Amino acid sequence: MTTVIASDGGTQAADPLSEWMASADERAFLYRLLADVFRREPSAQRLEEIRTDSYREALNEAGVDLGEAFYSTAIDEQVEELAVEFTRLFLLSPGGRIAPYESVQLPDGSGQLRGPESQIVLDYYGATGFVHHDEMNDMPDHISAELEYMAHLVGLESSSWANEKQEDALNAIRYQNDFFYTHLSNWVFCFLKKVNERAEHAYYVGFAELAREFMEQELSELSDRTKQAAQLINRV
Amino acid sequence: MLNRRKFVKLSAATAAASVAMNGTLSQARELPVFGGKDYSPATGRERKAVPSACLNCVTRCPNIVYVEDGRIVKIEGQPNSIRSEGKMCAKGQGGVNHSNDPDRILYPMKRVGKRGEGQWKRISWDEALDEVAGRLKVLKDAGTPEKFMFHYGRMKSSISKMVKTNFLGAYGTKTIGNHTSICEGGKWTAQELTWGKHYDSWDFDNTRYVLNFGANPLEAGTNHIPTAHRLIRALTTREVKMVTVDVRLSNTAAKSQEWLPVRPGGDLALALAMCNVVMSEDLHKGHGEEFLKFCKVTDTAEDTLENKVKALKDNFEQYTPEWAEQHCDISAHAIRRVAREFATNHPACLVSYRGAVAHYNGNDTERALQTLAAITGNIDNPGGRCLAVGPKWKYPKVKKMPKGRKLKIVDGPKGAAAIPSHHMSHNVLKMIKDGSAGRPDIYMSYMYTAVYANGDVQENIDVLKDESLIPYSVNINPFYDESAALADLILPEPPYTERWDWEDMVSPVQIPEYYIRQPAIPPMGETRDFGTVACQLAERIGIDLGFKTKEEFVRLSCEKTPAIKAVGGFEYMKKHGVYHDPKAKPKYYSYRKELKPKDYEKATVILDEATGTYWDWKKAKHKSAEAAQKKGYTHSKGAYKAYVGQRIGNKVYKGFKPDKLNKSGYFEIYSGLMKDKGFNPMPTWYSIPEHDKMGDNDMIMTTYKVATQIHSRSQNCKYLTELYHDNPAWINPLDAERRGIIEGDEVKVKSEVGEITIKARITPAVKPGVIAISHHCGHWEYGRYASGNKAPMGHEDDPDLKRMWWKGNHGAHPNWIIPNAPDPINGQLRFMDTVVQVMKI
Repeated sequence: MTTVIASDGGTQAADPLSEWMASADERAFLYRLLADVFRREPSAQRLEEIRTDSYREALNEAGVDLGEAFYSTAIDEQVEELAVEFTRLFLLSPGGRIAPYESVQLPDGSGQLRGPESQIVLDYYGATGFVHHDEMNDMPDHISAELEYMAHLVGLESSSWANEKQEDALNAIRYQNDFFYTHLSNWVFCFLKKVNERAEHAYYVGFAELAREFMEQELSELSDRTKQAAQLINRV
Repeated sequence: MLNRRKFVKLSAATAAASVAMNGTLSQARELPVFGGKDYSPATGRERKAVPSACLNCVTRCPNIVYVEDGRIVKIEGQPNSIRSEGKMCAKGQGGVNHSNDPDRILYPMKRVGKRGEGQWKRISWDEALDEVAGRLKVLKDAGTPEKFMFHYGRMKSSISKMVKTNFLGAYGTKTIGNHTSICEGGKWTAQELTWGKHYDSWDFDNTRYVLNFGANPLEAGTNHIPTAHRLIRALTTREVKMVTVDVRLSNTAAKSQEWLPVRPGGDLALALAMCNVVMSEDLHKGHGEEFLKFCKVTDTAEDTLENKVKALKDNFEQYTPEWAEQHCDISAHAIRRVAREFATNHPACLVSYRGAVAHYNGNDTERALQTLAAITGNIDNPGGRCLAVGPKWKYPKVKKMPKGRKLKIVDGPKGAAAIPSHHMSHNVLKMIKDGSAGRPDIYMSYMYTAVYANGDVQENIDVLKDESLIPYSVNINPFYDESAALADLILPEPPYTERWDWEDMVSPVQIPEYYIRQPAIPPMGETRDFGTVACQLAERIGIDLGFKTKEEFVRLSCEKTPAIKAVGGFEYMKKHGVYHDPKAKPKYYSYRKELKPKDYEKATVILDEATGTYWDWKKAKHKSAEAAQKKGYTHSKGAYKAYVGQRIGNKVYKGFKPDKLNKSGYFEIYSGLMKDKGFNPMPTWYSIPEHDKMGDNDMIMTTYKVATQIHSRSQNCKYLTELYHDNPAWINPLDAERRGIIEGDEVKVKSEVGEITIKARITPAVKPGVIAISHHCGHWEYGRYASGNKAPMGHEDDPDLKRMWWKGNHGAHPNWIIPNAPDPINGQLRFMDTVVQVMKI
């Protein structure tokens, strides 16, 4: 038995499987959070949630300080500011937007909106049993879609651990590993760097930095995760 | 496991805030099993997936071959392999082209014109088998089976056991040539002299430092992908430091933290000087000192640690970094720094290959490198240079074999190499030409382009063409290569995607992996696996092998091998392709295993006082213990096969078991076998005679391999050859300027045995004074994708033939100008030593 940090920040003794499950849960939430940040401008409700003391403390612990102004500006005003900032960054801008698509951002890629990379990502989703709905009128290789896809995969890992389907958990990790290294990691850092450089609002500066740190952590740990999970299953 | 401390509260807060998952993706069906599935992009239909194994290079990674409408369309890595972890290199993926090569040979072909003229007629298998078996029977019946020479290139695992062990063994010929001396035979011999076995496995998963002498593991190598992807992981995720010693900035050197551009053959001076630093600065203390217990360092069977250390200090004292700098062009400062880093970052992994070893002094380079690893305690330990671990297959064997006979033509001219334990294949044709040791009546070659792969190409052609030297030549081949073109009979074999085998390559995780190769599609045309053909020949000659096909041999092997039988045998392997024991622990420090008295207190086991080795005199074919004692272990022919254990102090250990040479069970830094042959028993500096005599205008030619081709048998793969079909010679700007050569110029490169014309690439990525030319290119046969020349039996059913944009641009082959010169100790072809003159045309 090992001691791990529990989701409430305390510590508890956990067997390896629960530790893996907790870890997957936490990663899934982070992927969801980031997918949400880059999918659309935040609503008033969302901002209210983020501005609670407990969420502020959690953000600070993760190394994100959105500044006093973020917490003191009137919500309606902030909704408007962030809608403008979101549009300026990702939708249209006189200085050129940061198109949040793999096909555009991938170094040495096609550079085209709806380029061949978009279809390859869509095929990947399809081959793994996922359907991309285009009600959002957006492409499958949008940053939020790729983050969401990772959230799904990590979520499947978590539920597999919970149901003691260890082979399924390992399978989900293998897909995470594959998709992350084949797609997301090849362009996300370049994309986030641009967001960080161009963002003017602390919200996008902060979340871009949070995303970068989380992606770097994934980059350094995901490949070993497959190996460790396989070893764990053999041990169990 | 994920470092969760930083984000843990944020995750919890996000969960509490119920971030909406109003996303764009929904799961419509279960996540399929990772790997092993593929779909047609055209129809969406699932493709048939066949777990099998690659054979485009010797690494033989487990793979999955996908079939659509009866055609092989894609190959990818096997995710359940502990060796490759699902990774596959370009060469493995390019193997998809073999089956559909329009220049493939599909029927037995018999020469009708003059040899080499390219005139053939199709014959039936019955005609072909009757003809070959008839000739073989004549030789056997005459009591001269040795006049049947079998010469192979790539023949491992089950095909080797079927053909070499069983068929050739039962037939009675030992005139069997291999290709190892053009590959890594020299390294192997040096390893056999030190730690007994050949082959070293690099434990990148656990290492803290990598020191690479002349290997290019990120692009090529005998365990390429299983080690390459681990090395990348070590470099990137654990930030392990790698230093590469190479005359050329290979992609491995480029990915290293440091490149030491060594003078060709100066690797030995560098290695000796690093040993000097370790010993003179007492860096051996600790792990190295501990390991010295298992080392032989003096001529005494059991010596004190003090004496061993003194002997090492005495031997390496002369090889100071300042001395080495004069011979290797690496600064004394850098030598000291890297030696200290290597010695103090334990565990550290010492890597080496042909760049360091395929030289006149290569044998002692490898021995010095083994010593460097030994005195720093980096032998067979986690993170170090380890003894190979592979699966132990059991297989059917013919019970009664005749005593084999052989022509003494596989080890080169008498005296050319002192200890050619892996033979001297590049001198076989030269020996046939010479004739003093006899000539084969039948020369049969298998997966071996003897003409192209050896040095001195013109001589190879001349010998193989000459019917007075080789009366009858049979070539077994899926493709029309340069050797097939000079045969009298071609027996068409299917490429590896259409064959059966069990496989056994070394595992980089020190846990054995069993795997098989199975046909993804039936053999095309009338091609037949040579394993099966050998059975059919045996039957015609009147030899009962006990099995009739390769498939049967593989099936029987699965049933005979306990580990495989226990999980379901042949059927399990057909379904899964790979197997390893999930409970197995990595195997390290095997030499430390203590033997029990019952193992060495047998009536037939005696102690050889001179070496401290326990050996079985009966197994060594002595008539009595007394006779064995009198002759001694070291000087009894084949005594290594009777090795039992090594006495060290009052214990007997498994030690470093010998493989081909009568060495003791010690790790022999001091080699009595070398001394017996008149060489210094300790690692010693030898300069390269031709380099000592170089003129001002001379350069040294070196050769190398790239990531997208294997040495000589992949240029028919169109995907690979589209990527790499031309090989301009790398020349340093300083050398180019002296000769008035600019980028893209045609230059003449001339040696003592010939000259070639090649384009120049001017680059500082090669050391001044060195010209680097890759292998792979300059074929004049092997089909249209390789050479532009259609095979006589080629067909037109590949639309890509019209899209071949590189036609007429096939590069140059360096072997035309490389002499077939051996390392004087182990016989290795000196691929990296050739002195040339380079001039602008």
